[in-house]
Amino acid sequence: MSEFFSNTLSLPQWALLLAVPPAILILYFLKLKRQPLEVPSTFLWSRTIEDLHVNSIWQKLRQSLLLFLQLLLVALVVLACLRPGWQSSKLTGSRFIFLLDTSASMGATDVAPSRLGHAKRRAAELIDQMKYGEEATIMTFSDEARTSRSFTDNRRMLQALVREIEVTTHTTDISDALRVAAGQANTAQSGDPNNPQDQRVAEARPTTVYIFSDGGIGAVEDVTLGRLEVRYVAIGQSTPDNVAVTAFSVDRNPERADELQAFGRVENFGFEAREVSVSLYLDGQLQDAQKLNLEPQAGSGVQFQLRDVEQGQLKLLVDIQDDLEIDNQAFAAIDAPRPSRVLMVTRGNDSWRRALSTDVARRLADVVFVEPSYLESKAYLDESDLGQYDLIIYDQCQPPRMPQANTMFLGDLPPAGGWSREESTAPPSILDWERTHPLMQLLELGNVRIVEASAVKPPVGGLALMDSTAGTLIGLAERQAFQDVVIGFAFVGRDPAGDPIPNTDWPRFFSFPIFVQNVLQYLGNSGTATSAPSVRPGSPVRLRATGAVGTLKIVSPSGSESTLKREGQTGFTYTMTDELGVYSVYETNDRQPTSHFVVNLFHARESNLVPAEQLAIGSTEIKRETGTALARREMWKWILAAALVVLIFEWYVYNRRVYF
Amino acid sequence: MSSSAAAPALLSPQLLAQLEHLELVTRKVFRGRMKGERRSKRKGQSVEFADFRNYVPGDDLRFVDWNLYARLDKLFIKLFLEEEDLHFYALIDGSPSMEFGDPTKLHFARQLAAALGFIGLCRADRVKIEFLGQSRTNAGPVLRGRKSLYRMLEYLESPPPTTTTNLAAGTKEFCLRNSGRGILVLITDLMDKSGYESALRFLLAQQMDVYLIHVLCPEELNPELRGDLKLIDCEDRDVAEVTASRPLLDRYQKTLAAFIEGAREYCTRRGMSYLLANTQTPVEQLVANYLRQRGLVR
Repeated sequence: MSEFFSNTLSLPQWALLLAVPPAILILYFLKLKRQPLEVPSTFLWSRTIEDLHVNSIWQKLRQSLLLFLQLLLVALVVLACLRPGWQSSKLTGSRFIFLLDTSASMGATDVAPSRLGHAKRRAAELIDQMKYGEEATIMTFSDEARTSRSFTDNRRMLQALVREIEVTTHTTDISDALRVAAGQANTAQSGDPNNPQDQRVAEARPTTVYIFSDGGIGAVEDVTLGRLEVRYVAIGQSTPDNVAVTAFSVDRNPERADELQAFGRVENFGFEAREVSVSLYLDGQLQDAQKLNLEPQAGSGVQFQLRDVEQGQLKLLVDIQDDLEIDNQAFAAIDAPRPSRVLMVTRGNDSWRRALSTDVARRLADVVFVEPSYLESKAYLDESDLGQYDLIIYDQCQPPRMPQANTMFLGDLPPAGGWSREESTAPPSILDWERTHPLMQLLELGNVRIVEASAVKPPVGGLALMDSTAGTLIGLAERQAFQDVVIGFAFVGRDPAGDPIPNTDWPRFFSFPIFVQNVLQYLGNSGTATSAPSVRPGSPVRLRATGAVGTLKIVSPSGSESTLKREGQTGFTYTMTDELGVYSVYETNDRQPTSHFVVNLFHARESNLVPAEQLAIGSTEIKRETGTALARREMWKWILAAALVVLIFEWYVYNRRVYF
Repeated sequence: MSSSAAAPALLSPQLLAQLEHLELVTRKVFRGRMKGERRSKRKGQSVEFADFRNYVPGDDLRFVDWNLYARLDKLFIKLFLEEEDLHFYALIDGSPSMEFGDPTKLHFARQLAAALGFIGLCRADRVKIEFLGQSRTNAGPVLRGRKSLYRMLEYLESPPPTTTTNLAAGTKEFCLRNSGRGILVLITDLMDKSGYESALRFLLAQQMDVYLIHVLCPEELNPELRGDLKLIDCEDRDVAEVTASRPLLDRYQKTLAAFIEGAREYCTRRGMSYLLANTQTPVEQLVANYLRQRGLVR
C-alpha cells in the first residue's frame, strides 16, 4: 500500500465491501418488480411515456441516476476505508523545537531525496501547521548541537532555516541538543541533574521537541526532560542497504622494511549478501583490488601489500551503489619516514647507551646523550621549549621545567604535574604489567629483579604500567599533547664509594631492548611516523611542528588552505576536520608537506542505517512515532461527509423521483 | 369496475318526469319515414297550413281550395306542412374499457342513451339504440312510442356484445346497416389505439347530425397512481410500465388535454358536436344543462 493510502480492513472485510458494487449492479439489472394495474386503456399512457422516451440516451442516464448515486456512495465508502492521507502531523502544544539530525548517516538515500531531505520536508510540514501564537525553533545536532535562533512564530523564517540545514560528516550525539532543549522547556534550568546550582527562576513552559533522526544515538544519560515532551520521528527505511569501510590503516611490514601493509575492514550492514570489489588507490592510481563476499550483517578484512612506497596518499574504495556513499571509502597517508629525535640526559648508563645504539634503535631515532649539567644551559631551554625533541629521557635528574616533548624519568620524578613517590624499604617483586599497552608489548618481566625502588603515583588520569609488591613502578600520565613516563627505579645505583653498580638485572634480559624499542616507537613517535594519524570528522587534531615555526598551513582534501598559529606552548590544534580525506600539513615556506593526517568516518553506528525503534533518554524510552499516528493528515472524514451528502441526495431522488 | 346488476336503475322516476318535457332537436332536416309529431319543412298532410300553389292535372282534388276557386275561378291547391318522425340513433361503445369507473362508463352511457331515447320515444321519434360491434342478427330494436320504453330499457340492460371491435369497424358496420338520416349520438371513451377519426368520418358520410359524447371516468381524468406500476390494457393486454411521479402525471394531464382538445377540434371542424362527460356528472344535470346548451334537446 502506497504512502497515500492506509489499509483499515482485513481481507474478508474487503471482499465483503467490494462485493457490494456488483450486487448493486445485479440488483439494478434485475427487472423492477412493478405492481400490475389494469387500466381502461394504455393509449394515453403510452403516448405520455413516448414523450419521455424521445431523448432515449438521456432518459437512460436519467433512469440510471440512482444507480450512479449508489455506486458513487459505495466508491466513497471504499475510498474512506482506504484512509487516504498524506504525511503530515497534527501539532499539539504551543512551543516546539524541531531537532534535526545532521550526522553522516542522514546523508543516506534510502528515502528520497535523502534522509535529511526527508526530515526537512516533514519538519516543514509541521511548521506549516503552526497556528497563530505558536512558536518554534530549529535545532540541529550531529556530535554537537546547534541552535539556529530563539523561538519565533515566523513560519517563513523557520522554513528558511530548515531549508538551510545541510548534512555533515559527523557522528551522532544528541545529549547536548537535548540538554539545550530541556533548558528551553524548563526555563532557567540547565537540565543537568548534577548541577547543585540548578534552580528555576521562571515559570517553565511545556515544550514539544520533535526529533527527526535515524536513531544511531545510543543511550543518553544525565538529561532531565522535565516539561519537555519528546517526539521521535524515525527517518529511513527499516531495511537499508549499506556496505562500509570500518577500518583502514597502513603500516610497515615488520619483517620486510621496504614493504607496506594496508589493512582494511569492510562490513555489510545490509540484509542481503553482497559481492563487492575493494580497490586501493595510491595518489589516485589504482594499485590493487580484491573481491569480497559479504554476508548480511557481517564483515570481512582485506589486506594489500605495497612495495617501495616512501610516501603517498592512499584511498580504499568499495565499488558499490548503496544507500550511504561517504562510508564506501577510507583514507590513509604515508609520511616519509623521519627518525625521531631523542635526548638522553644521564651521567652514564651503559645498559641504556647500548640499547640505544643498536641498528634498530638507530634507524628509529637519533639519540643525543648529554650530562645533567646541560639542563641548565640556555641551548637546552630553547630546544625543549620549541619542541626540538620528540623524547627526552632524564636518568636520575630533573629539568627545571617540563619540555615540549614526551619525557621519560628513570629513578626520579617530573618537577611538575602532580607526580609523587613513596620510598620502599624492601626490594620489590614485579607482580603485573599492562601487557596491552604499546610500551609494554611483548615483554616478559616476571624474572626481573630490582634492588631499590620507590613506588610512583601518577597524577589523576594517569596509568600504572607496572605493579609490584611496593606499588606502581612504571607510571604514565598525559600532559597536554605529551606523555610522561616515570620509572620508579634507577638502572644504575651507586655504592657507598660512589661507583656505579647495577640496580636491576633487567638489562640482562631480552625484554629490555624490546622495551627500549617500544619507548622509541611510542614516545619517540617513530613507530607512527610512516602512517599519518586518523581522526573522526569534527574531532580536533593536535599537530606538532618539526622546526621552530610559529604557523602551520593546512590544506584540506578539497584544496582549501588555512593557517594555524601556535597556541602558547602546546603546539597547534586544528578543528576544521569536516571533510573526509587526507589533510596536508605544511610548515612555513615548505613546498612539500611535512606531514599528513586523515579524517575517516569509521563509525559502525553511522554506517548501520537501520533506524532505531526507540530512543533511550535517561530512564525514559521514546518510541518512534508511527507514520500514521504522527504524520498523516487524513481525508476520510471529508469523504464520509461527501458520502452522506450523496446518500441524502439519493434518498431525495428516490422519494421524489426527480427526473429532470 | 362495478357490475351492471348492482348498478342503479337506468332512469329514475324523477328523471323520467323531467325528460317528458324535452324533445330532441336536429339542426338538419331529415325526411322521416313515418308520420310523426315533428313539423317538417316538407309539404304534406297535416293541420298546419303552409302555402298555395297552382293546380296541375293529377293533383289530388281533395286539396283544392274551393273557396278560392269560387272567388278567383282558379284552381289552387292548399299545401300543408308535413309532420313526420325523427330518426334518433344512440350508439354505445361497449368495449371493455367502458367497464371502468364508478359508476362505470358503460352504465353512464346506458343511462344517457336511455334518457335521450326516452325523450325520442315521448316525441314519437324513431329511436334505435345499439352497442358498437353488435352483430346484424342481434341488432338493436327500432322503437317508437312511449310504450316502447321498457323494451328499450330491456335492451340497454342486456350485456354488450362480447366481441371486441374497434371504433371504426363498429361504426362502419352500423352505418352499413342504418342508412336513415337523423340524429346520432355516439357515446364512447374514444380509447381506440387505431384512432377515432375514421369512425367519425363514416358517420359524417351518412350526413347525420352527429353528437359525440366523450365519456371519461375520474380514473382517466385524474389518475392517482403511486409507485412503480405495470399498466395493463384491459382490451389488448398491452403493457405500459410507468413510475408514478408528479412530472409523469403532469405530462399525462397534458397528453389527456391534448387528446380531448384534438377530438373537440376534429368534431367542431366537421360540424359535429362534442361533449366531454365525466361519469361523476349526474345524467339529469348533463341532459338538462349541457345537452340543452348544445342544442340536442330542447
